[in-house]
Parts: sequence; C-alpha cells; structure tokens
Amino acid sequence: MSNKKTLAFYAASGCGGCSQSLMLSPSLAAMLEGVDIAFWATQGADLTSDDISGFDDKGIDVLIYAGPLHDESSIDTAKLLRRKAKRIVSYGACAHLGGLCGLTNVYPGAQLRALSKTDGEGFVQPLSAVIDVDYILPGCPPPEAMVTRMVEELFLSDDVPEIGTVFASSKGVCAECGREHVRNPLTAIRRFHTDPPDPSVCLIDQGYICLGPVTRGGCEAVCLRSNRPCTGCAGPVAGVLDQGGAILHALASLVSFSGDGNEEKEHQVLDSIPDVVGTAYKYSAASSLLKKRVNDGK
Amino acid sequence: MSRIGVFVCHCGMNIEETVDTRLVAKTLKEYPGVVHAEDYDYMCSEIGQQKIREAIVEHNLDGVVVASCTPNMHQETFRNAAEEAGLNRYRLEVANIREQVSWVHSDRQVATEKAIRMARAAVEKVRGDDDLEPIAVEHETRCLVIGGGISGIQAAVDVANSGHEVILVEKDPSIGGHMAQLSVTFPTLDCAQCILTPRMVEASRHPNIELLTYSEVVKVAGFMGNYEVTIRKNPTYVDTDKCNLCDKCSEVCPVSVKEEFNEGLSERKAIYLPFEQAIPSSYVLDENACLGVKPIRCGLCQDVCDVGAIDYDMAPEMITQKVGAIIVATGYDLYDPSHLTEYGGGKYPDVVTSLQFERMVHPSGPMKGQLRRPSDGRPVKRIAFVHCAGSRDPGRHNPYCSRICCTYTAKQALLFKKGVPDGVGSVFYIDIRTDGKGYEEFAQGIISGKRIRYIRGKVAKVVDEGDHLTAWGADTLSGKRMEIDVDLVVLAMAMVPSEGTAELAKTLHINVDENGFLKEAHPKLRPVETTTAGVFIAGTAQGPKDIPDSVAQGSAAAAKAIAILAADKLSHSPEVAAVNEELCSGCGICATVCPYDAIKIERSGIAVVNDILCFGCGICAASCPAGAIEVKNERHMQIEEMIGVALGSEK
Repeated sequence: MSNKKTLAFYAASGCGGCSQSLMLSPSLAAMLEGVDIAFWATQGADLTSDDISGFDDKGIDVLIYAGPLHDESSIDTAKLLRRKAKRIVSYGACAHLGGLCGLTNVYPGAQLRALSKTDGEGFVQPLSAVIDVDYILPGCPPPEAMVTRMVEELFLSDDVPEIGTVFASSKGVCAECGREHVRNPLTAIRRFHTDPPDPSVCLIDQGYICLGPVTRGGCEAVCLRSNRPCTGCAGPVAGVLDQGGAILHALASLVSFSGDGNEEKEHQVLDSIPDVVGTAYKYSAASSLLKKRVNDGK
Repeated sequence: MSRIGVFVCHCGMNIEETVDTRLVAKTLKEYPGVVHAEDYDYMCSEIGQQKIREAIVEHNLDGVVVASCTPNMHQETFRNAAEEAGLNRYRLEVANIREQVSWVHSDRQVATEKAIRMARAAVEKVRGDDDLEPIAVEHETRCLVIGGGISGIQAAVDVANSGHEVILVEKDPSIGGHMAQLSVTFPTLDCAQCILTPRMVEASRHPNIELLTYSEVVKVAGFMGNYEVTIRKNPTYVDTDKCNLCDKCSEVCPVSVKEEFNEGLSERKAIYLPFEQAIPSSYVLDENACLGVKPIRCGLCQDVCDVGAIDYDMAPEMITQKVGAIIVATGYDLYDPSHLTEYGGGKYPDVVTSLQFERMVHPSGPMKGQLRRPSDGRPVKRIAFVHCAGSRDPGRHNPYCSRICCTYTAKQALLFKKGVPDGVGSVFYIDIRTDGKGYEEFAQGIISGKRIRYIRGKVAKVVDEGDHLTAWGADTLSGKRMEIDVDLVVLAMAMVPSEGTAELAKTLHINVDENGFLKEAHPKLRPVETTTAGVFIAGTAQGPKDIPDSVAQGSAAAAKAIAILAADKLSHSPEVAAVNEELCSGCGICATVCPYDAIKIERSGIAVVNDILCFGCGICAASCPAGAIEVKNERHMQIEEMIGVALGSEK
C-alpha cells in the first residue's frame, strides 16, 4: 500500500452532474495523481452496505459525498460512510442543501406519492442534517473554479483545510458579477422568456429575480455572464440561515421602495413572483426554515 | 459583565395608574447585568435626573435604561444627564412604557408584565451598545426657499433679515402667489395686494435675497447643512432689466390665450405682463402660446421693442447652488371644478370657482369689479354660493375640510351685496366653520345680518336653463326641497396641493400625506419640519390654511432654518449604518432602498455609507439579504436579543 491518500466518491442519488463536474474538471488529473481510489460509486446502487462495511473504520482519508438523503436506507449508508471516512466533503447542492430534490418537501406525503407513483415519504434532507460534514463544496453542479479550489486545498496543499471550510466565497455572487447598478425600485417582475434583459445592468435593478445577493460566490458568476440569473445553487451566503427568506425580504424591500405607498400595488408585484418556493428555495428548500409541508393547506 | 442601571418612571399617574412601577423596578433588579433599579415619580424632573447621575457614579454603571415616556420626549434629557455623570450618552436607552404600555392597556397585571419585558429588552439593547461620538459637520449658510407665495416670501424675508443669503425660487413669472389674486382679505376686508405688495417689494429688493422666478428645482443632493440644488431657470425671452413695460409687444402679438392671473376669465397675449404689480416687473414670452420662438418666428414683438429686450435665443439656464437649509412653500391649487359634474363645474361658464369670483369682484379684475355673467355679460343679480365643493366628501372627492371656505364665502357674499345691494345671495352650507381670530364674529355678523340667505344643505345639482341656472338642493333645517334660480353659482372649491408637489417631495426625499400635502415630522410638535433634516415646509403646501397661518409657518420654518444656518457646526448622530466588508458583496439593494441616498456601491464592490447622510433608519439593515449592514447600536444581535426577551424568553 502506498502512502497516498485514499479517496472515495459516493453519489447517493441524483442526476449525475456532480460526478460529471469532477470528471470534467481540468484539475482531476492533478488530484488523481496524489490518491488511491477506494471506490467511485456514481450511483448509490453501485455499492452495497456490505461493500462499504469491508473498509476499515477511518480507512478512507477523503470521501466525496454527493446527492441528497431521501429515505432510511440513504441515511443508514451515510452514517456507515461517516464511520469509514476521516474527512467527508459534502459535494454539490443536493448533499449541501437537499438540492432540487428538496422541493419535494413542499408536497404533503399523499400528494407526493400520487405524483411520483412511489410509496416514499419524500422527506429530503441535506447530508449535514444526519452526519457531521467536514467540508462543503456547493453548486449544482459545483462550478469549475470551486472544484479547482477544493483540489488545491484538499489534495495539493500540505496544509489541511480547517474543518467547516466551504470551498466557495463567503460573499454573494454579486461580488463577482460586475454588472452596473442603476438605482431602481421594483415595480414589476420581469421574466426572461418574454423580455430579455440588458446584459450589462444588474438583473434585480432591471426587475428580474436573481439570487446573486444571497448566494455564495466563488463561481465567477458564470450564469450572470451568460445573461442568466443566479438561481442560488451554492446556497446561502455566510451568516444567512434561510436563503429564500433572505431574497424574498430583499425583494419586498425593493418593492416598497417605489415609495408611493400603494400597498395594494406592492402586493400585486410580490404576488406576481412565479412559483415563490421553486424560485427562492430552488435548491435550499430542504435545509430552509420551511422544513416540510405537513398538510395540503386546505 | 455589564453594570446596568434601570429607572422606572411613574409619570405621575400616567404610568403608575396602569403599571406597577415598583414591581417593574424590583423585577428588573434581579435581571442579569442589572446592578441598580429604582422607580420615581418623574424621572424627567431635576431630582429624577440627579438619581441617574448619582447611580452612574455610585454603581459605576456602564449602561442605563429609563422606562418612561416615548424617547421622542425625554431621551435627550436623560442622555444629557448621563453624559454629565461621565457615561457615554449612547449607552442610555429609553423603554417606552407610557405610550406603548400604560396609555394603551387597562389590565394592570398584563400591562406590568409588558412593561417588565420592554424594560428587559432595553437592557438587552444597552448590553450591546458601544460608546459612540457625535459626528461634527461643516455646513453652508445659505437658504433655499421654494415657492414665492406669501408663506415663501415671509420665510425668505425672515431668513434674509437674520443675515443669511436666500435663493427664492418661484415657478411662475412673478412672486406673489394666490394672495395677489384676492380681492380683499377676511375678516378685516383690507385689500390683499395692498398688504402683499410691500412684502413682494421687500423680497425683491433685499440685498440677501436672490430671486429666481420662472424657475424650478430639478435636483437636490446632499444633506442637512450641505445641500446641492439644481435649479432650471426657464427662458422668458425678455430681458428683465431692459424691459420698460411699454406694452407695445403685447399690442402687436397676434396670439391670445386665457389669462392665468384672472383664472381664465380674460385673455392675454403670448407676450404679457403677469399682472400690474408683478415682480420682477417685466413682460414674459410664453413659449407654449407663441407662434414660434423657433424655428418659424413671427417676430412682431421684437420688431416693436424699442429697448431690444426681446431675445428669442434665450435658453434654459441650469443653476447649481449650495445651501444649508431648504424651505418648501409651494402652496395650493384649487381642486379641478370639472370633477364636480353635478354642478356643471368647468362646463357651465356661469358656474365659477371661488378664485374666479375673487377676480370678478376685484376692482382691477377683468370686470373692473362690476359683476357680470361670464357667459353673456349680463349683470349678476342672484348668486348661489356652494360650500364644500370637493371638500369633506370622502370617496368622491377630498375627505378633508379646506378650512378657509366658510369665511371667504361669507366675505364674498358680503362683497356681492355691497356691489349689488338689491342682489339675492344664497349660501348652501353643511355647517359653518370659522376657526380663526375674529372669523366667527365676522361670519356671524354677515349671517345674522340676514341680507344673505344661509341654507343648511348641499346643492344636489345645477341645471343650465339658458338665461339662468337652477340650483336644486334641500334645506335640511326645514326639510324642504329647494329649487332656486340664479345668475351665477360660486363653488367654494377645495384646496389641493399645487401641481408638482408629489414630484418635488420625491426630489427632496420628503413625504406627502394621504391627500398629497407635504407631511410634517410631527403633527403637533414639529409642524414645519419634515423627516428629512434641514428641509422645512410652510403654508398651504402642508395643508389648507389661511394667510396668517401661512405667514406664521413661513416665519416658523425660517426660524428652524436659521438655527441650522447660524450654527457653528452641525452635530450628526453616530447611530448610523455600518457595512461589514467581510459579508458585503455589493448587490446594491441597500443603495436602492436607502431613502436618503446615503449608500453608494464603491468601485471596490462594497457598499459605503456616507455617515452624514445616514439617519439610521435601518431600512438597509432590514433589506440586506446577507446581513452585511447594520445600524450602530441597533445591531442584528441586539435586536434578536430584544425580541427574544420581549417574547418572554428567560435569560
């Protein structure tokens, strides 16, 4: 056995984008040079509990864990993996926040079962809700700049990153966006498919919903540079508990800034936000203060 | 560990009646971090203040909470006392247990519990307070007065007399405002112009007053003591200094339009003198009416002008000035009579507004004081005066009382009877409100003289019968329906904020009330101040009022402005917003929502607060989605702690 670090990759479920993001990263080669690979399970089904049990406790130096927790078995596996790994990187939005899958929590169980034709309870949780997580690499999928940073700090540097390190900026995406600010009240919500935005001006100032202010940067604002809004995949900025709540209260402040004091009009603007939860909590519903919808609201 | 003192005020029985202040003090004494607590009759008294001073020294307090009336009343009193005893003044907080507890609750037990929680919340705030020092600010010594009516003139003259320079901006070609249009003023019946014009002359001749007529304020930047204002001076196309008032230009001008000064009852030319006593005393070319200043010029007026005063190439001028204080006295307009369709307002020429009637009875008005029907010129023998035309009519028109209409209608009825002794005047009223000094005696004298018929009731409809009008109404005292034929209907029109008030308010970052009038900072105690420091309001722009009240407010606003202009340095509260550079991503939301324009996103990509512009309102802190901006001594942590204990969590 060499004295290389042992690396494992485990994707509980999900779309496969996390695995792809690693595979496509230019820093992959540098990372692989310094490690022995214990396993690389791009689907949870690739690996059984027995397979995992075969490893010594703390026998894996670094485990990269992707995907959400959605049922008892995924929780059990996560706990087992925690025993086997010295350090766990919560990789991608699903592990970090619950991700897109977390939006299932918005549906009460019965409705969800009818929709999905399964008998699951459909309660999605982020990895950190069940086990201690050492590092977080946010993003859906993690953007190249952040992957590179993780590889450098975790595999190429002699220093061990501090527990709790998030391989992203503590500041919002706005810090990297570079669009111009025009002081503008929010008088109507504009949408991309009907009304293309000016690529040089802040989207929020133009009336589009952008989660840049509440979302960790480190992605070099890739979406904004493609004239698309930030949808919040990197999760809340440092110091913010509830990403969706933070953007919604900011939008509410901007609406009332219009200053004519017409509350009815302000409500109309806010009510016109399409799919509020799906927009404001696109990736973070499962880790938000919303928790889970417990009845059908009737 | 903090060492906080708590003082609970009885406010005589104001608080004590509903709140067990002794129990509040006793309970607070047990609260973590509190080393001294006591209750007293009047904390604002000298004895009460002495208690604060002594406790600070004796217990070496590092924070003080006074549970008393609103901080608007005595926070400064208590902070001064604390400062005298060596405590930083920003480490004293007031818990409002009067307006927010004793005055709004009746259950003593519940009120006492609430007072305890509010006092605890204030302790939590004090615990997080830092020492702060007021910010000293240099300032300009000049004053801007917007609006050249009687209120603005009064303000300008008062400020100028205190030795400070004044820029008086008026959007019309002459100062004077509506008062210049009036016939006589109630209740003394002296000629309005005779008392107004000396003031106009004084304003125009005053060495400290720069008059900018035909001008508008388009931009205001800065803050109390340091405003930079941009004024657009519209071209009059006539050189004021050269114009010798010969009237030749007006004689040859081929264009006639309705004359504003006579409320449309007469016509003027496109080049005209606003009115005889206009200041500045000069003709003005109305570019909207003129056949074409450019590109096609009729040029007749320039041809006949002997002194070469007419300059078609005059351009709008942008003037930037620095001022320390701003007084807004932009006055009123009459409510548009065409809203009153049931009276044929704006449709029947013989249904006139109160201001039109003022011009009709004015000796030098369009009818030389001889009352004639605008439609056919026949003498007016019968008039129906209609009170509350557009006032006191919530839902349909304006909900408020315009205050002066009852008294001026009495005056107008009197003038009518004076001019037409055999005329029949009928006044329809809801009730008579004559609130000024001498007004009640004046109006009652006219009413009890019985030469005018006062009918309690509203006019439902006015019908144009060709050679006369018929007013349908009801006398609610006799219960009879009324149908009277008249030659003229005079509508006592509601006063509304002058055109452009809302836009100007936005430019100045001041508020308007639900009726569009400029809003004062406090309806009782700060009637001429606004929530923007250094901007004051006066006259009817603030709400309907009569001449003496407008003049008084002009003087009051001037006194407030002078206090700023004459100060050595201005002091600004240090309780302002501060940015956490570690968290700020420069999203700009704070800069957008800041009502004072105090935040800029700097090139560094971080929000930067101009302390002097900031009033610590906290809108930025509440809207920042990253929690990156907080008001000093109102930090999120403090607020969370305060909410926690207010909701009953135990320490």
